[in-house]
Amino acid sequence: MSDYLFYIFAALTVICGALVIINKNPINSAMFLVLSIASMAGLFVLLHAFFLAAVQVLVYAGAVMVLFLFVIMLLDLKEEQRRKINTFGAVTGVASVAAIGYVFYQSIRNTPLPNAVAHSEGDTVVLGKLLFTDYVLPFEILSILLLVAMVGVILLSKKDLK
Amino acid sequence: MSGISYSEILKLVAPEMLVSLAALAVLAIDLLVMREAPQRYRFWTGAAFAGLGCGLAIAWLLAMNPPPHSMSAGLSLLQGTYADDVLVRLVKVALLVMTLFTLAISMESNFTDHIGEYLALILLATVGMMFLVSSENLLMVFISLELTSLSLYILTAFNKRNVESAEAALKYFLFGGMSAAFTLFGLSLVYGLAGSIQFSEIYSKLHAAKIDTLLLAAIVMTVIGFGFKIAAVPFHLWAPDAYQGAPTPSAAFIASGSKVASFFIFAKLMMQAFAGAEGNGAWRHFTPGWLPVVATVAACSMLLGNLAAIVQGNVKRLLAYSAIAHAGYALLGLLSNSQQGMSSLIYYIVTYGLTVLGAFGVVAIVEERTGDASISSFAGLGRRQPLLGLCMMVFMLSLAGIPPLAGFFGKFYLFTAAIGAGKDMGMLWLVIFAIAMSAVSLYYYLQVLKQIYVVPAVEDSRPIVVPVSSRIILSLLALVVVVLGCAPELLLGRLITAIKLASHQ
Amino acid sequence: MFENLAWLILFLPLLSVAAITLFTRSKPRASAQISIFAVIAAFVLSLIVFVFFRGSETNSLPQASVPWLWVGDFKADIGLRLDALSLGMMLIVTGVGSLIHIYSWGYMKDDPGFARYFASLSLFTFSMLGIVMADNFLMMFIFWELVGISSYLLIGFWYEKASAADACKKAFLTNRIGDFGFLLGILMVWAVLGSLNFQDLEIRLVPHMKDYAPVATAAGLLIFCGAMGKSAQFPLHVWLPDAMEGPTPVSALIHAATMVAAGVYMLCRVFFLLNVPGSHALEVIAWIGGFTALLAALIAVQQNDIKRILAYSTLSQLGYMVMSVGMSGPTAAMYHLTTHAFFKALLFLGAGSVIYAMHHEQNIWRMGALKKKAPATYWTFMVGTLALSGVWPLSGFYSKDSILAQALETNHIALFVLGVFVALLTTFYMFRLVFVVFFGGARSEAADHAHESPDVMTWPLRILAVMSIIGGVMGIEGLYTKQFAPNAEGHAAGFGQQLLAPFSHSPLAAYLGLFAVIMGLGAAYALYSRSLFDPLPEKLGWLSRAMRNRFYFDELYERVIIPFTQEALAKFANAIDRWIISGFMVRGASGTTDLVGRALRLLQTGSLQTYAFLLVAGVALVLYLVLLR
Repeated sequence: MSDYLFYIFAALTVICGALVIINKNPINSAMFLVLSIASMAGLFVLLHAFFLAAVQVLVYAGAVMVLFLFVIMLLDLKEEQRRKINTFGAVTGVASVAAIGYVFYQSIRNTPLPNAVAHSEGDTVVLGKLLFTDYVLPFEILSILLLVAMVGVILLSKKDLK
Repeated sequence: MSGISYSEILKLVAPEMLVSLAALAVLAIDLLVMREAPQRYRFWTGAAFAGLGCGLAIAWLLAMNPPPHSMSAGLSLLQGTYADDVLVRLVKVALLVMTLFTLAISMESNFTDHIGEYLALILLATVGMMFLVSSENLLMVFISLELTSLSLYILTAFNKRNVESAEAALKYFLFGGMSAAFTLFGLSLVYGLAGSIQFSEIYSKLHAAKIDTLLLAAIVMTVIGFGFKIAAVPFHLWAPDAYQGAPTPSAAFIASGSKVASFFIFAKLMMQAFAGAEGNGAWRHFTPGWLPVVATVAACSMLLGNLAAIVQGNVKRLLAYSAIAHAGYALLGLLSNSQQGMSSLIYYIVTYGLTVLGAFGVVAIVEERTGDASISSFAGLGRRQPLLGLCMMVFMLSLAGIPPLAGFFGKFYLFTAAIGAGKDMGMLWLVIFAIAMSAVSLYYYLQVLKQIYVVPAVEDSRPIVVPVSSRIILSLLALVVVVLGCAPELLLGRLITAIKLASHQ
Repeated sequence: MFENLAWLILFLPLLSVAAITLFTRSKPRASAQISIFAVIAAFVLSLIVFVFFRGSETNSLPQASVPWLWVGDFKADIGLRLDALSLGMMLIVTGVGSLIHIYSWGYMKDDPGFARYFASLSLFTFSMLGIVMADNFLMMFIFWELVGISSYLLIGFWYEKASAADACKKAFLTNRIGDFGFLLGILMVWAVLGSLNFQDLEIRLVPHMKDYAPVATAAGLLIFCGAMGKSAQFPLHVWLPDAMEGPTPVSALIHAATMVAAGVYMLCRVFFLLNVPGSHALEVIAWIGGFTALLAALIAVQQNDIKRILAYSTLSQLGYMVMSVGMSGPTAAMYHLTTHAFFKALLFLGAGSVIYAMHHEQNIWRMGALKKKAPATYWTFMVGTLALSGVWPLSGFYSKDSILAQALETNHIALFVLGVFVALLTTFYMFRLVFVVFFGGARSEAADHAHESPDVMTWPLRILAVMSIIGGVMGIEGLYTKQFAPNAEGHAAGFGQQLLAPFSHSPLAAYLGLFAVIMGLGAAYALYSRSLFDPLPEKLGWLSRAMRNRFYFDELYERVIIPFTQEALAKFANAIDRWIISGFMVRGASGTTDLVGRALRLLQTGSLQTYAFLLVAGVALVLYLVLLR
């Protein structure tokens, strides 16, 4: 059962991801992005990572997407809609992805896959403990990273007076 | 948690803490107190705080002995997210020194009003690099790599008066994002195969196993991310644009500090975690593993970097291609896959970083005074500003590998390491290639020197005025390049002892 | 004690460089005095060490070495090796160097770069001494490059002249090609024998012969590449004649007496690595040397610039020496190197004196009748010419004879014939020069008003002339024999016997050599003793044209090889990247160098897509190569 669910969610993620790119209307793209993220949350659920799934939905599908939509609506959309799909880009993109896919398919087909790594319990308590003990450093570094991102965004979006 | 308290952790990461605090202090002071002060004054105050932070961190790293429970060997704590040994500390010191020099050469550039942010970002990028070199955990590698990269993207875009800067940053950013995706894919495959993200556990799980295709795929994917950071062909495409478009001090920082950190952790990952999956990179005896992958990348980098550099008309772009070529040489150290290889790699990349900082420092001044960084704007520099010309000569000749400068000894030592590696001089083909290519490289460095010393200045032949501080900094860098070339023992001796100690873990 | 003296000898010139650049840059006279003092002191000290060495009856003085870098298997020392070979060479470098320093005082007198000139000259002396005294390959290589740099500085001394700037670049780049091989050879020797120290290598060679023999030819030839660059052997000979753009004393010191001989010296130093059973390196070396000797002599016949004639003559003599090494005769090679240093320095300084007298005119067909105007120059120049031609009993005769005798001894008949023919050509072109410059009538106004050079310039000429005369009977050969064949008996002890030794030792070589001189002299006399213009072009036609144009080697390199290799490859590599950057098919490639200077909003997306595509394609390719192949 969970195998089928995995394939369904995985396919949804990929297809929605592709639709984000193909769609000409940015709002539609954003909606497909929400779908893609939501199906990814489904994948997390299948892995028993309930907390991650919840966060995925709350933060990405919720908060981030709302911001996205705000920004998109502020932009002039007509120009985007007139945009033609670049044949060159499309062809090369598809070709290169196909090439990598082919290589992977060929190589994995002939390799026995290793046993799956045991599930770790993805509940909030365990995660929290890990984050504040063994992985306290990466956690803290992420906060620096966010600071950098913030400084960067403010800096780049601000108009220079001169 | 392995029986370690928060206060102990805090003590361990004190150098990083100091630098982060300095960054915050600079940011705060600039924002709150100095907003109205004149530009120059603001810069000096900020730089003083930043320098103080770096200086304290260096002092801490040099003065404090490694923590007691680790003895002479290093330690690796918290699932390998923080490793600390003599070698790591040395590399961190090198990084901090480069940061200091980057701050110093920013002095003459006048491309932004956001001085506090600029200095803080440089410091935060340094924090990222410092964490990067002390990580022995894939997660930590990825996060600190991202912290470094993100700061550098912003630093590239810093010149808001110039479209090129924004464009370069965009390219750098998108390209970086793409390679990060590949890397993450590779790292997740590694996790899937080994069941752990710690270097030591990956090694114990993988070294005995047969090298299967999936592992190879994982390795290739991982190499991509680092190939991007060190600007090796075919992942180099961002470099020429970014170097040219970025404000010159930022470009210098990208070429020096970030390279040192990336090379170090790249080598560590390959030599420690993937030991046993080397394969064979000898000519016509390729067997799968990471050696042939890296060997191919190295050969391509040397070829394309050196040849494309010949026809460049812009010195920053020329330095970018030369950086690509140098990444190729430095990879030889990784290919030796030995302690000697490691020491030669670090020596080479550190001296390269210092040299290129100096070169960019000169470029920054010339660019500021003449308006652009094309080769022809260097015409007559030897007479307009003899000291600057002399420094540039030292840097260029060192990059070309002319004795007795550091670049020569670095190359020589790399080549001996590579030639002695493995059996039957398997890497001989690459060494021959590298020597031939470095002979070619002399040509374009001489082009620059020819402009400086032979071609007279066309429009403006008045002397260039350079403040004393810049003169001191550049002369100091040139002196370091000469001294490290004449007495490589100074750095190399420490490196070798450190590597020996670190390997007894 | 003597080791410490040796360090002092090495570092005196460096101290002088430091003193001049730091303190006396703006005081030309003081700078020159410091530099001259340093080189003379070095000479005196060398002489003291040398006398001690002669008295010590040993083959070499104890090595003085300081560990520089010891890393695992990799050991590099800074060490000095003092034996007959290096001491002899040190005396040449400092001795001839001293004279040339003094001469420069007069020659460069009014030049604005006087201090810079002497600083470079001292730097050169330092690096050359480094090569000579080095006891290991790494140190030798470092000084090898340093010599290259100082020569680069001196060739380009008048860098305002475009030709001088080009010449120094050419010299540097050509040398790099040679050094590429040299470095590779050094690394190869290190990889096989595990040491870089000459003495160690000699000891290790015996037990490791089995490993070394298979790579001996390759390693030997690679090392020879270094000599090929520095000693300007075919096909890397093109830089030396152009190097004559430098001041004439520089040509005398660097491009005649010492630096260009470094290649020969190095070959002699590592002769034991070349002379390995089963190696064909020596054969190749001998033939390249012989070919260079012949080629350069032919070119010299039809040159009209006084310095270029001498330059090609130097090339030709260097070919001789290299040929001698190739015929297993390092003794003869070093012997010829020594005497050649005397008379070639003399000839160049003489030429400098002529040029000075003629107010910087170098074309010999605008000179004439200088015999009366500049008698000291004339007489000393004549001695140099006779010595170079190999007239008994001047030094050149003995050293050339020992090379020819070596050819006979080792059964290289073809090379022997070639050697004799080159000797004939040498006499011919040298006397062509002498007849045109010093005899006949004045061919220009400047020649009419020529004057003798000051004493500070003529005295070095006189001293060098004396050395050129007696160089053959000073026991130089015995000195080098002691080094390369310690067991052989010395040639002759008494002065008289020494004077006549060649005739009894190898009469065929001696008589044929003299015969060649007479033939050459006769031909030159017949053609040039009274002519106002060169009669040869009419008689030889295209051959003369080819000679005058240096057999078109420069053109070949400039028009075919350099554009084809370097430029084409560079353009190609750049085109690849350019093609990527401009986003192929999106906007088409553009020819301008700086693409980013334009409005790139549209182009940007295109190029980014292309970047992305290329990245992914690269990944796919690497994956394919690693996984599926």
